Amino acid sequence: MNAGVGKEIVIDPVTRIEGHSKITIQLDPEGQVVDAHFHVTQFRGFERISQGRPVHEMPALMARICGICPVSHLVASAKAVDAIMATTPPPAGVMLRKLINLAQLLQSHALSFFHLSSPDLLFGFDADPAKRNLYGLVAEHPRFAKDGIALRRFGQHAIELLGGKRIHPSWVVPGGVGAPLTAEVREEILGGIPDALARVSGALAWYREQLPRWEQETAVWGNFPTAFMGLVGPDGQVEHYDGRLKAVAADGTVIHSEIRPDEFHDRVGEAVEPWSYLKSAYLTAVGYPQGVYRVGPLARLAVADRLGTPQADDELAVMREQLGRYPASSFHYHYTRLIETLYAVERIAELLRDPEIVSDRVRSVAGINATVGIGVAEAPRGTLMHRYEVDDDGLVQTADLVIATGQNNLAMNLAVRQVAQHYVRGDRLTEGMLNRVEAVIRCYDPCLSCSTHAVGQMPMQLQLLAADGAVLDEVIR
Amino acid sequence: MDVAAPPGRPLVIGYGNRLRSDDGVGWTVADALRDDPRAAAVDVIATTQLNPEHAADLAAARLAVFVDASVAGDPPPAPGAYVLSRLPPPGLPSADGAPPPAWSHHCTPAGLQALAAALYGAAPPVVLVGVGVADCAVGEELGPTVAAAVPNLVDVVLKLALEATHA
Repeated sequence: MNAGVGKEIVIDPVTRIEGHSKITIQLDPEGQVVDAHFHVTQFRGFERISQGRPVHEMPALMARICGICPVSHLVASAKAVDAIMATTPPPAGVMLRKLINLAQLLQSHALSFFHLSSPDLLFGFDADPAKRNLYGLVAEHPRFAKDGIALRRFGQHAIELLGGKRIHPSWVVPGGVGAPLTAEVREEILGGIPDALARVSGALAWYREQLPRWEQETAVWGNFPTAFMGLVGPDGQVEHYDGRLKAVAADGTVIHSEIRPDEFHDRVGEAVEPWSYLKSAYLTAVGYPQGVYRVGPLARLAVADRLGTPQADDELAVMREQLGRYPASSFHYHYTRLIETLYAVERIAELLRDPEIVSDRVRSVAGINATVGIGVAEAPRGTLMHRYEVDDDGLVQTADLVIATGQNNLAMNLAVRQVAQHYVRGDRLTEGMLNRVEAVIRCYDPCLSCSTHAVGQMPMQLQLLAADGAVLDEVIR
Repeated sequence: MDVAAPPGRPLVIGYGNRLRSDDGVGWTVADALRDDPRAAAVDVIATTQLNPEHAADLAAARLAVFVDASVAGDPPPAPGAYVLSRLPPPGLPSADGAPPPAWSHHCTPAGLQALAAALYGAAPPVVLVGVGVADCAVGEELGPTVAAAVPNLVDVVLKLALEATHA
């Protein structure tokens, strides 16, 4: 390295996430990391595409944003259109929306933990990348590959039974859902509960036992104080469909006990940086960029007092005993994601066992009764907000989506910088270094297809640049 | 050592993008089979793309027939025409053997077959039905040539699947 010349490392694209991105790491002349950026390099622009569309089409249209979490967009969009129609779905319609949303959360979390992240956890961050992937799982840890497949199948099958297809179902409609639940479908989904519970419980037991192995990663992988935001239910339990949107500081101090949908844009700002298509959300009460906050399973389990199902609450109590009430390390997204998966299985069973869920009344019908509607729900990766303005004919004039990955953007950038400062040394890139920088992003399970509304791909690129911008080193895989 | 074909029912998986005109032909054939009383003894899946989860379906099938749009070959099949190819049951993978070519979002029929063998110890022989296409531009309908071929494709796929039930 030449004295007096700073450098930049770029990882592009980042692998085993949903979408396409790159990471740059800026070195000072002494070879120390001074800054790092997580760039999102894709753009689609669903907000523009929506303009002029009849608002009742929006849920089905918005579901097309993503093949991983279409149901979350479906639910948030339908809630926004509910508000424009000034209508409330019947109780069974609400329960069925909750049910399909949890089925999607379950299958998405299973993909994230078992197939995308567990290779790092099982083989170690210095392991050969040729082995540290799903192929390696199949060969050496088939139980994890099978558990991931089984849990994803369970969630996807439930979505297919309810919505007619497992990707991009349009069963959630303004005013409720498209059709009642039959007793046969209820029994079929319930039949899968014991197996799903056993698989998640087994994975949690393994994770708890292994947690001390990752003490070093826990200490420096996005381990910093930030605020947390997520929905909570009336009794302080975790909530994914409706409820109060609550924000707390890193120590649990309440910043907003409730952010009403119409207050969302007053409480949450979105900064635009020239190096990414992904906006950077922040809490306006704290300011930019200090108002960094996290969403998703780590945040939901911070803002909620409890989950509300017996086994998941037991696991939450154990986790809090181990890690404290407000775990700061982003590494713990993995732990909280598993606990939420357990909750989802239990809660799906509770919903299905409620006699009300098979009611024939599942949809309220109304016309255009307001010109603005906002829907907020929890997607697997965090809080999701859809806001539409329509004209008197119900044609969309503006659409605004605030996506979970955008809300985690500032925290992800801080996490990349922290990991890089700890692991990156000198001017040579090592596999272990690259993988740790990349894997901290994977903790957040970002969905770049959603956040930029871009077509997902999963390659990886890394560059090393001098202070003057010259590319000194580059790795593409 | 070869992996035995499971004793279950034959499986047809039709896949493709229904928003890309003729690319949706596999899905269309699968949809038609699902509504066809002659296919009562056949399991049918219509899907946008192949995922690792389909390995569990293969592990329970005595034969898997994959139907997809195809531009492979020189020349590729004419629009609506089809090319058959077969994958024999895979051998049991060794611990240091080549990994099955599967990933979280997209798999190949051969990858799914290998994944089923590796994870579940059972995988069926596979028949691939590659259908020639004329136009894969954005559109929700098959083009006229490929659409006209669908009834024959349904018969061909059904015959392949039912032969397995008599084997």
